Amino acid sequence: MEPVFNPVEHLQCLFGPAINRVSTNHGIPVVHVPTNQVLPITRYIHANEELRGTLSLLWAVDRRPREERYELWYLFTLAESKDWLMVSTDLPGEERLFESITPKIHAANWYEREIRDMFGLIAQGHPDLRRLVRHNHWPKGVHPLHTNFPWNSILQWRQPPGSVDGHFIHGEGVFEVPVGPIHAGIIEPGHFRFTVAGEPIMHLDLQHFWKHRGVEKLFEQQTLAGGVALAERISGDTTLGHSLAYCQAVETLWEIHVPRRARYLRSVFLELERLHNHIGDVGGICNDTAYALAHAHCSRLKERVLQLNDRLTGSRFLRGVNCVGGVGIDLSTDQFSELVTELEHIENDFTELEQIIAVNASLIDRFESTGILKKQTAWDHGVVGLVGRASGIDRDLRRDRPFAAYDELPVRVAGSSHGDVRARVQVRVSEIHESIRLIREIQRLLPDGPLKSDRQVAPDAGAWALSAVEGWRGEILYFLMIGEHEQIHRCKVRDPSFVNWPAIQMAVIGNIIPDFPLINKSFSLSYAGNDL
Amino acid sequence: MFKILKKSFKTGIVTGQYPPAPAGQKFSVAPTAQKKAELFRKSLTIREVDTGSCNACEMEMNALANPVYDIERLGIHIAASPRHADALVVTGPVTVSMEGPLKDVFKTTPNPKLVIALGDCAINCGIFKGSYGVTGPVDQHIPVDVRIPGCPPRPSEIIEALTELRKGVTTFTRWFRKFSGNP
Repeated sequence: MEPVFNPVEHLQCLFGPAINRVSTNHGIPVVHVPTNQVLPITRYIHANEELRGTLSLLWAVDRRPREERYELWYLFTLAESKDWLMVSTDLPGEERLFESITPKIHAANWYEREIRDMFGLIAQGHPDLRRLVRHNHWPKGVHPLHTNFPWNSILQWRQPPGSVDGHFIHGEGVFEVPVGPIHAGIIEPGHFRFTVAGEPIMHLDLQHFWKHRGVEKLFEQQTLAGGVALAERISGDTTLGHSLAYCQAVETLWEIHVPRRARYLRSVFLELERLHNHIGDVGGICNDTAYALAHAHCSRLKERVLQLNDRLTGSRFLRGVNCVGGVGIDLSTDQFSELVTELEHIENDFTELEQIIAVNASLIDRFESTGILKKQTAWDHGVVGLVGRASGIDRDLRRDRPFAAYDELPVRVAGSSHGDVRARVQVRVSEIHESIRLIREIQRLLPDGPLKSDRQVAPDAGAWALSAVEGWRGEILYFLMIGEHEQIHRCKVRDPSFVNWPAIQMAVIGNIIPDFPLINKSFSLSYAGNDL
Repeated sequence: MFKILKKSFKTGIVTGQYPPAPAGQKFSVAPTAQKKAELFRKSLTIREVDTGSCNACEMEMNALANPVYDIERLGIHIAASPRHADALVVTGPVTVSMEGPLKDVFKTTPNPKLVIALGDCAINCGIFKGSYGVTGPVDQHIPVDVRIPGCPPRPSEIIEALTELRKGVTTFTRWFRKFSGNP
């Protein structure tokens, strides 16, 4: 029998004395290393052929007032086994500097800039340490996630808002096109700065975080049981994905075994959320090529799903469905058959529409070879979700790290290798059919039983948990650490938009500006979930 | 071509196929706002500004334009620029970074104008109240005429509130009542 490859033992053999200790938390191996060893070890995990770890999350924790130190955590997802591997390091006392891993692992770019803004910890050797979250008019020395920073402080502006420092290209015939923060449609605010020479885009500089509401700090004012409502309001279109990821993190900490019926219902609602967003996006993408007919039909179908949600749960966006320990809403047999019949109508309707869309030559012409995101670029940026799957990155948490009822429901993961707008539309279309199939499958399997379980343990301050959910956009990650009296000490939220936004800057290069809305819609990223 | 026509005939007219707004939730619009809205008669052009919402309110605003709600049939049009707008619809608590752009948009919108605060966050900051990233509800920065509560308000509720807003007495009816002696 071939020996099982153990990544932690492998690292211990290689880096032996450089590793302080190895621990395991809820099944996730954590390698604790001194600060100066982070770069060689993370670089090895990233580049080694057997490990090929993608940086999934990088965040800091301020352990004050209990301990005088900051912690930095690096979460990797290994390519073959899809297992998680964590690296952690301490910055004791007044230490504010750490070594940047961005020059070797590109995916760390925004994370390290975020840590600098939110904690004041500076990544030495980072190639681009401009402000990310705090815009230029924010006062100096404000680092909101310090434990001693009052959550309700009133910030004093330093200078008039609106000044932007971007990366500019100068030269004859080179123009800049600034767009936003307020756009022409009903969209969220964000600033895009295109550099063009003639028609094609040479460079795109994103400036986001206009909507930064201080969500992570607001979580720290909540108890573990009270955070669900806030999680639901991080990104309205992913209400259920976020609340599910949050609830799962609390359930891991409290060692709650969610009843089977509740896990199945969670899967149903998660698929409903995927459905209404995917159908809406297919229409939105068609609309950006001025194909109004497909848009009208898709928005009509999306409305049907939203009205269905409203009838079943009393909320069009599935608010109040999840609660810690299970679900708050049950579906009767009649409701379930109504759901399945309605979805059957929607699927037939959508299939007819697909045949109309698929033969429209002018539409396909706009879709094909537009906004190509190459597999290598996607891998370097750690791109997740349907954008990743359309670029050949075969990752889906529903299959790789099953949560809710997906351990008993095999998911057929859609994928493509072209990485253009058409590939992203195709992945969406396959996922729409797959979601409807899954709900039909659940109708057959749905067990009876309770909807909610109670907590088993009361963990100590400092205990933490990680949870992951494959929302309709991609992986939603939550890191949750408890403080005193069941208060949340730190809640790191990562919406898939945060990793996919930087990748869009690569996908637009060489395309013309009129194609940007199309590419942007095909990524369909959240501004609110990114800005927090 | 025939497929498209067949699909259109098969689908028929879907406008108005939505459940009515929950009863018991009547929207009271201040008479001053109705008076302001009187100027725009049966046509109102809206510009939507997001100052920090969770994007659920945006999705409901987008839903207003779909074939089911089709607010164009009510004379409500969504403009792409504040310069073309009669009314601003503001969603979300006003964040530290969006305060400036919101005031700019307000200045750019030609007078007379209405400001509609859509959703709980725009009215009282909702769940984000007090955060360092939020500078306050919309009426702290610009004068608000109409408030539409909900998290998010359903499209049917938004339509109801907008209808209520434009129920104001028109100059013609006032003139008509004056001369017919029928108040």
